[in-house]
Amino acid sequence: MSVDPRDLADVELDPVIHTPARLRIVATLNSLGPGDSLSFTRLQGILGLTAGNLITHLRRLEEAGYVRVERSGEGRSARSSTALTDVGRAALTTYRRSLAAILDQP
Amino acid sequence: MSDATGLTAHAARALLDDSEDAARRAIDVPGAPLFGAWGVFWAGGYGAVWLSVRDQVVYTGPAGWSLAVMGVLGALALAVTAVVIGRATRGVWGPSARAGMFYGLAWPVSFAAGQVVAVGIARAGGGAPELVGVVSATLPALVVAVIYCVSAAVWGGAEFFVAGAALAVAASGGALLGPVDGLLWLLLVGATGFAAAAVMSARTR
Repeated sequence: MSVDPRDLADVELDPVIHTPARLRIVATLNSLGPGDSLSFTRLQGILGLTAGNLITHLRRLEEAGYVRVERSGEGRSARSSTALTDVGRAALTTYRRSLAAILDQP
Repeated sequence: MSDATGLTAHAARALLDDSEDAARRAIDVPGAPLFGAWGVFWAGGYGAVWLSVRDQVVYTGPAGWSLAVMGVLGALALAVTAVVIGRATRGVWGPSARAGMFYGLAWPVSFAAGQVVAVGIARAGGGAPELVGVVSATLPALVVAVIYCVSAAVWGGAEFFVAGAALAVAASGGALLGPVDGLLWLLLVGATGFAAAAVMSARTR
């Protein structure tokens, strides 16, 4: 089946996910089990990002409703956990389908 | 297709796949070092006990040094287990962490109950050394076999079932062969099961 190139032009990649850092964040959080969350420091360790960089990208994902960041405690005992929301999982699925539509054409 | 981020669709898919692989490698508990550590405990521990009883004309039970070897190897395997699981699950919270905690608790609870049952059986049998030898060697193996088989059912890891099935064969055969030959059977079949599980786990990771 041939595809009209004009159809491909309509395929858009979600700009919230489509940056290297945010794509890696979403992919990493998507690897967690259902209902699980990951500490900020562990996520930072896995991705190798600076704290400031990670905070910036998490904020963008949180604003889009893709990621949930929960903070608990104060001072030295303060900790943050991050998790992908249902909206974020759905967005990643759509993003993956869009990639396939762009790349898997004959 | 490329855009303002400079990320082409090809690069994005590769990055997505690589990131998911890297995350799973970081977060999933690797089975190979665990099966390896417990395989060494199994081979070394049961091997030492078997060496201490194999020449006994009248069975009197394992020598203290062999039980000490088993204890040290068991402590080392426990330490490896704690480090490997602790590294992988650090910072992961939620249902998986709770499931892992219950799984971890299943071991001491099952072993404690198994020891009580072993003592009860030994008492009922008048404390005959052969009976104590068979029960104390095979009952722990059966406990491990059941936990591994259930692990395979819950998490779907075939390597767990291979290890569990091997240990079930080791325990049942060991009980039939008696306190001396049964130990050698336990040692060979159990260690083979652990080795196979470690190889399978390393290949699928």
